[in-house]
Amino acid sequence: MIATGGTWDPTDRPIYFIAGPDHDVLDAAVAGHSYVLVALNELPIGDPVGKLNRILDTGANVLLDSGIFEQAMRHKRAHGLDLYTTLALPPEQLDGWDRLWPRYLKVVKACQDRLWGYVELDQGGRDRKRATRSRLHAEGLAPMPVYHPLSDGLDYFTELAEGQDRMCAANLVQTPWRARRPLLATLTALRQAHPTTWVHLLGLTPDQFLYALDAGDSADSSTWSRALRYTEGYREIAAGQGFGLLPVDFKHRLGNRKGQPGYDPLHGRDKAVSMSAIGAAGRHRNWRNYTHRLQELGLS
Amino acid sequence: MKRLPADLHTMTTRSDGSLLAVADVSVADPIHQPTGGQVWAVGPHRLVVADVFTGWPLFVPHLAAGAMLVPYPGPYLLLTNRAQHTPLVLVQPDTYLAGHLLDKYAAVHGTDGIRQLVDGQDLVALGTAA
Repeated sequence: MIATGGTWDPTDRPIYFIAGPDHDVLDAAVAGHSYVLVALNELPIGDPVGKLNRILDTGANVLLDSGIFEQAMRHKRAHGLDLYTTLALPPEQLDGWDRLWPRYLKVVKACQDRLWGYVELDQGGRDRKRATRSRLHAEGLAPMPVYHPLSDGLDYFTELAEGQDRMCAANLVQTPWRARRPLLATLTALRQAHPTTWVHLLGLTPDQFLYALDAGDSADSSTWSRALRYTEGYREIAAGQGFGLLPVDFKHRLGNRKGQPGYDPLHGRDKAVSMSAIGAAGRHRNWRNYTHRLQELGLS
Repeated sequence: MKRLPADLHTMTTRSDGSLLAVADVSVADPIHQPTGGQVWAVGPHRLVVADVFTGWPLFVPHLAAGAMLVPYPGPYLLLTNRAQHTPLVLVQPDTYLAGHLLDKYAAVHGTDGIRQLVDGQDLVALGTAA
């Protein structure tokens, strides 16, 4: 059994990691939600380690994503390929791979003792993922491997679950909302044979599906920051499910951002970030309370 | 859940930020300190601090016609557009989150409508509101 690297605590579950631009997750960590996912591509080119350390200095539990998905999407757009053809390419054929590899090594090696965990460079299908992971192990790193349920096969889940203490499950972001249910049901069934292997659900919000299905121990998404990106503003939830919007004047004033002329912190985007972070913390805490209560009652 | 006209207004209208300005964004221990087994009146709503699975004897009597049962509510739920039109019975077993629900409401509406209910007090009042 390979122990993946990081400060994680297997009893500290389930976890909702909030994802997004580095400045937003930093502000959110300060405001009140201490589990964040940072993708390598979101960190500044010049000093990624410095920025990551600033986020870690807040005391946040940080899961570092490799940034390979964003790299693949850029390659897809540049070459007019479809998604699955792109994801099957050998990593060395991806535009920017020669820069991503050393950057990943630099950042992870600098921060691995402080990170909650770090995701492998999961490009090219399971054989190439094995090869890339071997190279990372040779560098002294132990990333969380990634299982792609749409292409890897069931036996690969078993291989990872029996060989690693943690793994990630992908393919959820690009799967239409309704089609996620069979994927999550499959993961739930697979996990029952390996209950001690931690499964992180990449790009999934702990919504009502995860109240019904024990498909993962943790999940991440940028849903927490919808109020910052969409005109609907803050959406409140109950038991993981959308409940409704707040009156219009809870939205921040457009254009009111730190560093801009006339900035007003009471009406501005930063306060909306804080509010969203608190909402994420509530989502995390409710999901956790619900899950623990199911266990106490012998219902999970 | 069906979208309300007020939600459509929120989506399509520019904000002056006036409610955001008064919103409470604290995560420290809440000022209100409810404990398990308590029922609070919050304006026309009820906040029941009880287990969702086994605490039903405490919250079922508050489910009058027209009221909506809301388990595991988020911290700003009492400020939603829906809360302005529908009496809600919130069931929140977590005393920290329950306290913040009260604090977040008080920051916008004041504390006048918030009080702890004792021994089934005000059961009829919620039904009337519905």
